[in-house]
Amino acid sequence: VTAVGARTATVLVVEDEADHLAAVRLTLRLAGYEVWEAASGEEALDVLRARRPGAMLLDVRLPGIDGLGVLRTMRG
Amino acid sequence: MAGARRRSTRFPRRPKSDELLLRVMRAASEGMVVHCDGSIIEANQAFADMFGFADLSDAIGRDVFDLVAPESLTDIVDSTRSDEGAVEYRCRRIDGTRLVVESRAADITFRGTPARVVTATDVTRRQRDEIQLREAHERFRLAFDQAPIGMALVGTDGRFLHVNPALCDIVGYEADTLLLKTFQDITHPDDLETDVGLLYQVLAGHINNYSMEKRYLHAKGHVVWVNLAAALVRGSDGSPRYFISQIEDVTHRKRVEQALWHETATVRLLKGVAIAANEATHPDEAFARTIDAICAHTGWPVGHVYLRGEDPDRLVPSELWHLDDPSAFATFRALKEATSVARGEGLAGKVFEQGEAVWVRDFTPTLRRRGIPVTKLGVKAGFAFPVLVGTEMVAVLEFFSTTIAEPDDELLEVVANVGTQLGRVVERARLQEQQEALDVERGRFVANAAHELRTPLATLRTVAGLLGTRRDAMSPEEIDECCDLLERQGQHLDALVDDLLDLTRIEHGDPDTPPEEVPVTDWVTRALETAPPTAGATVATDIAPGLTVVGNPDRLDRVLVNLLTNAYHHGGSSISIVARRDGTATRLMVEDDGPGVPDGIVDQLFEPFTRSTSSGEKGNGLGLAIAEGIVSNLGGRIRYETGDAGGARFVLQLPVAS
Repeated sequence: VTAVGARTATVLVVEDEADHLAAVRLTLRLAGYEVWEAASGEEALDVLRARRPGAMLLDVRLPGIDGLGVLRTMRG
Repeated sequence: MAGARRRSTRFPRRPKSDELLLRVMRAASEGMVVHCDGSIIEANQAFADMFGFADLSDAIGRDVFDLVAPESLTDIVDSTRSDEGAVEYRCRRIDGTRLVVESRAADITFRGTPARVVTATDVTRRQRDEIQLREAHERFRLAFDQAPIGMALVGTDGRFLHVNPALCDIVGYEADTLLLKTFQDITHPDDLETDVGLLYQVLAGHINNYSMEKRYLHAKGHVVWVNLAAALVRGSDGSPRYFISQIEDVTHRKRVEQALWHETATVRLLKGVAIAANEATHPDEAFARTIDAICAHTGWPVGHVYLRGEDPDRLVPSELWHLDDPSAFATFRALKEATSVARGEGLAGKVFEQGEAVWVRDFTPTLRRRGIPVTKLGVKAGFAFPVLVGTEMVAVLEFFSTTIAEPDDELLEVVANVGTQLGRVVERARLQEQQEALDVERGRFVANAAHELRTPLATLRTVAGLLGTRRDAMSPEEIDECCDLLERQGQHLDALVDDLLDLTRIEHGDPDTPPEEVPVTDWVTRALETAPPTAGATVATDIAPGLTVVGNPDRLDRVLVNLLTNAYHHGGSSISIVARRDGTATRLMVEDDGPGVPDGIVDQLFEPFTRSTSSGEKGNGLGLAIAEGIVSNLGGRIRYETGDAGGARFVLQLPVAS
């Protein structure tokens, strides 16, 4: 994770498992990041269409479109 | 020795002839004597010497008959009737010693009176020589006839001139019959060239004699092994006259030798196979080395291996061959490799059918019936034997000869042993393969289990770390969330470890879970209480009345709960449980209206840690593996199929009674 800018930096966390998401969210928040969340590939793409985060934590194994699918769609 | 009668004569005195006679007597080298009625009138020095008179004068006046041995006196009477011919007399010298004298006699007139002139030649030595010769001849004849080994005088053309009884015994012919034959007639064709070759070398003077191990053909047709020693007898002019042959029957020794050789060869073969069996890293290598070893042992030019293929009723030709001359058997090989064989079909098929070694002494009739020209294939006889693992036949090794061959029971016994040894190679290879597969599976299982454990542990550590160091920066809600999270992840890990332990226990036969008869309705009800439908899902049940299954209730519950959970996670919203009687089994189906199991993982569906990649992190991937283990421990089966509406359908078959 690269901090793009202190305090204002945003991270999109894409994770379907609620507890993992909670742990990551808390860690990032305590480190000063603003956390955006998505529980699936589709949700992540919805978020990405509206706005771009400073960084993204993307799980590969996801229901529906998986992590690699999200990357391909982003680049394409 | 001389005439004894006085004869009257009409002839006048002829002193001139007297003088002539005396001169002849003096000059003669043989003894001569003139006597009148036995009384010696004149004798020569040779006579005196012959009879041991010290002086010639001592002989004069002696009675000539005193010099004749008593047993010969009667011969004298007979011989006086004739003047012709030499007669032998036994005589004695004046010292009493004996001698044999050849004598001729004639009536004469000497000094005017009738007298008899007698010649005497000492033939003692000659007679002794004759006796000795006769005795020598007799000794030879005895030695020849009574010899314990066969003997023959053989002409330079090979004809038997004289044979002894021992030889007649060896070859089984009467002497009269044998004397009409040549040695060539009764010699084994394979040994004739060597024998005749040596004979010519002797006749040509290159060697003096020869000996060889050879075979005769007995009158009854069988082979007799002999040791022959032949020496040429030449005449005084050096020309070859005949051979003296000594023939010793070595059939017994030869048989013992052959048996020993055979045994040694057998031991060598078995040793070779044992080494090949030990060293081979793959059964094919052991098979290849074994067919080489057996071809070397039998001298047969073709060896081939059939293997069991996918079809349990057929043998598949392998590409493992031993061919002394690949081009000569190209057609045979091509024909063999073209098709597999069924039980009872051909040599290998017969072995397949009978489960033991088979020998065919001559394929010609069979091939002719099938319309295959024998000359095209080039094989006449064959044998084949199975490679067995227990009672399972895994291969057949077959061998072919270009000539007709009678069954060799001993060889068949040996190859049966070879088949067993090769069976062990196959068995060992299988165990090794299983072991390797097991090792791979275990390695994968451990890696998967470690991964499954690490994910929640990572979360636990992260959260516990935050609580420890950053609690001040957290809101009370966040602290509560952290505590809930720790609790849930702890439970999750607990369940995972339980599942891993259960799976291991179930894979080892699941002891300490006594089975009992369980009504299916109770079973389904309990499972639905443990795993109620998740939000939005419904479960419809359709259970035939009075149905039961046999199993441990806890384990049965586990199976159904796992299937239901699976349906809740991956299926649609509408789930059904249908149970029916199916012969001696109860069939229970759990079906959902979801998308069904992706094709890619259907084959590994019941293996641990198999999960659909598109299903996210739901479940630990052990549920179906555990369900399958429990069902198979109960003697039942579980299988997956796509439902009529495309959803997932799990079909359980469980026995009604144990």
